[in-house]
Amino acid sequence: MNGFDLARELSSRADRIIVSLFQKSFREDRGAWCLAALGGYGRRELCPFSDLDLLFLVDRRTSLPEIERVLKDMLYPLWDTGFDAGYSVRTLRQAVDDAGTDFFFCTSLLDARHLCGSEDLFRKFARAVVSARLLKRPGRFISDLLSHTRRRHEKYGDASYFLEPHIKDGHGGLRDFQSILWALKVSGSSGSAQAAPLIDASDCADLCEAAGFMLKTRFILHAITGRKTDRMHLEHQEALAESMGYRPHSSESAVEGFLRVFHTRAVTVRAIFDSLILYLYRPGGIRRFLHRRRKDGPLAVSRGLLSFSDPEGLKEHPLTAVSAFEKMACEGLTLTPGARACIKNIARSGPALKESPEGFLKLMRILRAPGARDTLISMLETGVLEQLIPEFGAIRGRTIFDVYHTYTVDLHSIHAVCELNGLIQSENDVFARVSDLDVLYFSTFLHDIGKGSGRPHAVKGAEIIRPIARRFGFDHAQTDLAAFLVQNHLLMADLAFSRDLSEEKVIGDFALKAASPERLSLLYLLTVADSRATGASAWSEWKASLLRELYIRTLNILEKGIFKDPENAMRLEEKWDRLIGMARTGEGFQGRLWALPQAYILSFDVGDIGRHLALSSTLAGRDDIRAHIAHRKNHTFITFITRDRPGLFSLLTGILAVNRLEAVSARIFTWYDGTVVDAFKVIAPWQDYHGWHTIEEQCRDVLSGKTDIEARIRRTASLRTSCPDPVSPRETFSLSIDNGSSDFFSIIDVRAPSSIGLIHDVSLAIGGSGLDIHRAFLSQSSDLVSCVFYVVDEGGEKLTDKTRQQDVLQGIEKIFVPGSNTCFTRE
Amino acid sequence: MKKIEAIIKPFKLDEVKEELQALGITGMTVTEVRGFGRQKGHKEVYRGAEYQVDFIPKIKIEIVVSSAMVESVVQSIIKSAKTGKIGDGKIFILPLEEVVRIRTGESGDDAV
Repeated sequence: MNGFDLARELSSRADRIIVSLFQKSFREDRGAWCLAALGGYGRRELCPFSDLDLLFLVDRRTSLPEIERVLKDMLYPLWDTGFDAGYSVRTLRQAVDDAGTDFFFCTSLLDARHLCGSEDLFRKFARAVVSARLLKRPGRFISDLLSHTRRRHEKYGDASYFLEPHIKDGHGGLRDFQSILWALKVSGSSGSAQAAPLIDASDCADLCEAAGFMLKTRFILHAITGRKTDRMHLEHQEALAESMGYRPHSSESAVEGFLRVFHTRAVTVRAIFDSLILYLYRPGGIRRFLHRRRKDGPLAVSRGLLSFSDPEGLKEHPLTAVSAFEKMACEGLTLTPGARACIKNIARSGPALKESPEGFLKLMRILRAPGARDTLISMLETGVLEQLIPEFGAIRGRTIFDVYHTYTVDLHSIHAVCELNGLIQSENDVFARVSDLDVLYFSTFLHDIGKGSGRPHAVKGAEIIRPIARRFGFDHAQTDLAAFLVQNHLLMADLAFSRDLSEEKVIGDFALKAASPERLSLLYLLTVADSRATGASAWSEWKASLLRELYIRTLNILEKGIFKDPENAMRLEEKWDRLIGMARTGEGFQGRLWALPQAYILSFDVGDIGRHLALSSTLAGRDDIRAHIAHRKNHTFITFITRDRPGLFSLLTGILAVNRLEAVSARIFTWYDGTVVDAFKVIAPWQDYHGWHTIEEQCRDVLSGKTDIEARIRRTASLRTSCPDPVSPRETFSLSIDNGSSDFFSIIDVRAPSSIGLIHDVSLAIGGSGLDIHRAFLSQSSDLVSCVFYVVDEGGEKLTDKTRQQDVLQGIEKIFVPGSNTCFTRE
Repeated sequence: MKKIEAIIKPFKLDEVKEELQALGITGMTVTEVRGFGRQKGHKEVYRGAEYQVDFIPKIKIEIVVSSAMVESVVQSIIKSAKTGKIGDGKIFILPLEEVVRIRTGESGDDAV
C-alpha cells in the first residue's frame, strides 16, 4: 500500500464519523449549512495524528444558539474520541474576505472538499473563492507562497539532506509537494499562454512517487511514536526503516538504505519545487519573460532565469549543460523548469563526461564560484555530476547513522566546498601558503568519496580519487597530493583533540608526515572545512582553538625548526627506514624507536644510534651509566648513556673538568623515555693520557653519591681557569634566553672565552635555578665557546616569567667577572 | 552524595573515562570549556607575530557519586589525568542536596 492509499483509507474513516455526527445533529432542515474539509483532510491525506481542519459554512441568518448547538453536537464527540479537530464557522462572504487576507486560510481553501450539508452552498463558495482571490491575482499568491516558503525552510531546514529531516515542513518535504500543486492550480487557472506544460511527464511521475513515499513515512512515524511527530528523529529511524520494509545489506544498514531513498525522493521534490516557484515568481509575467530573453550562445538568460535557446542541441553537445551550470554558479542564476527537465532527461541517457577535461575545468570553476551550493545541488539532482564523476554516485543520498552528522554525504561534500570559500577571508594567512587551489577544492569536494565501502573511508577514498585525478589531467605530484589529503583528512582533528600538543614528539611526527608548510596548510583548510560542514557538534570555537594550535606549532617546526631544511625530512625518513630494518633483524631494541627525538636521529649516524640503543638496554639501575670512548687522531669521543636526573649535565661536565679534559664540542639529548645521550668531543690534557678507562667508574661513583664531584672540583680549582681572562673584551661574552624559536623549550645561548670547567659552571647555574636541560649543543672556535641549552621548568613548560628569566641569567652571569659581560634577553 | 567536577586536559578524556568506567561509574556529563588557572594563557608565535591564547581549551567532567566512592573516584582521576606538566587541571568536590531520576522519580543514592 502506498502512502496515498493509507491516508485515503483513514480519511474515509474520519468522513464516516463526521457525516454521521452531522446527520444526527440535523435531523430536519440543513439547507443553510454546509460542512467542508480543508487542508490535508480536504486532500484526503490524513495521518494518524493529523489535525482535522473543518469549515462550517452558514447562512447569514443562522442564529448564534443554533451554531453553538451544532458545534457541541459535533465537536465534543470528535474531541472525546481523540481527533485533533480544528474548526471555523464562516459565512460565504466572510470566507471569501478572509481568503483575501489570510494566506494560510487561502491555501487550505484550495484543497477544500465537500463533506455534508448543502452542496449548492459549497459550489457557490468554491467559485467565489477561486474567482475572488486566485483568478484575479495569481502573481500575489505566488509571491506570498515564496516568502512563506522561505521562512518555513529556514525554520525547518532541509528534508532532502538533513539526517533528521522534517517530513512535512522541511525543504523537499510534503508541504513543498503541496505547494507545487497549489502553484500549478493557481497558475493553470490564471489562463496564461504556456505551450509546454510546466512539469514534464517524467517529473510528474517522480513527484507522485516521492510524495506517496513521504506520506507513508509520515503515516508510520505517527503510528510508531503515538503522536503527531513530523521530524524523523534518530531514535525512531530504526523502527521506521523496518516498518517501511528495509533490511540491512552488506554496505548499508536498513536505516541508511531507507534514508538514502527518502533523501533521493526529497531531492526530487525540492528541485522541482525550487525551479517551478522561482520560474512562476516573476512580477512581469511569462509573456514579458519570453520577449526579453537575452541570448548567450546556446544559453538564454532573462530575469535571473537560465534556459537553452536550442534544447534539441543539448543532445549533441552535452557539455552545454555543464556550461549552463557554470554560468548559473558564477552569475547566481536559476534554471527554468523546462531547462532543468531537459538536462535531467539527457543526463539519464546521455554519454558520460568523465573523460572530459573541459567539463572538469568547468566543474573546478563552479566549485569556486559564489553560487556553488545551489548549482552543485542542481547538478547532483539532474545527474550531471555523476556524468562527470561517476564515482560520486556511491555517496549520493548516503547517510551515516550516528549523532555526529547532520547531512547526507553528498550534501556534506558540497557544504565542505562552500565552507572553503568562506575560509578565504578568515584564514587568509593559511591560503597565502597554498599555491595549488585546484587540488584543494578537488580534494575537499571528494574527501568522503570512500564512504560506504565498508572499509576505513579515508584510505578507500585515496584509492578512488587517484584515477579521477589522472582522468581530469592532474599531474603525478598533484595526484599524490590529492590522495595524501583525502587519506589524511581525519588526522589533524584526531591529533588536535586526542593528543598532547605540548609534546614535541606529537608535533614532530606530524610535521614529518605533513612534510611542507603548503601540505600542512592544505590539510588544515580541508580539516576546518570538513568539520564546519559536518554539523554543530563537530565544530566549535573550542575545537577551532585546538586545531589552530596544532597547525601553528607544526608550521613553526616546518618553517623554523629542523624541517626548515627540506633535505632533513628525507634524511630522517631514510634513517628511520634503516633503524626499523635494524630493529627487525633483532638488534635488541625493538619497541624503543618511538623514544628517539627527530633532532637526535638527525644528529647521529645510524651506527651510533644503534650502539646507543644497545648500550642503554644494558643499563642496570638509575645510577648506572655507560661511557663509550673512541679515539681519533687529535681528539677523543666520549659518549655517556644513562637515565635523566636533575643536574646530570653539570655532574658529567664536572667529571670532565676534574680530569682536565677540554670539551671542544658536545651534543646532549634526552630521549622521550628518559634515556640521556651526552656525546662529547674532548682533547686530552697531554699526550699518552691514560685515564680513560677510569671515567665510567668515576661517573658511577658520582651518580651513586659515593663521590662529591663539587668538592673534587673545589680541590682542583687551582689547576683550571674557571674565570675567563679579565682583560678579554666585553664583546666576547653574551648571554640570552630565546622563547620564540621553539614551542617546547626556552633556549639559553651562552658565548664566552673558552676555559676548562666553564660549561660545568654554566650548567650548574642552570640546574641550580631549577631548570631541566633537555638538549644542549656545545661548539668551540678559536678561543670562544658557544653553548646552547634547551631547557624547561619544573612543570615541563617554557620559561615565560620575566622575573624568573632574569634570575636565571643573573645566576649564569655570576660565573663571569662582574661587569665584564653583556647580557640581553630576546623573545 | 557528592558532585565531583574535574577540569582536565582534552586529550586525557578517554583515559579518565575508561578509568572511571572501570570503577563502575555509569554516567557523566562532559563539556568543552575554556579558562585559565596557574597555566595562564600562553603565547603562540605565528608568522613572526605573537598572539596570546588567553583561555586554554579544557574538558569539564561532572559526576555524582555516593560519599563512599569519592576518594576512589578522585584517585582515579588524578591517576589518569596527570601528565606532571603544568595545566593538568583541578578536581572540585561539592556537597549535593538531592538527586532525582526523572523517569522513575527515584531519589537519593538510588538515583545516582
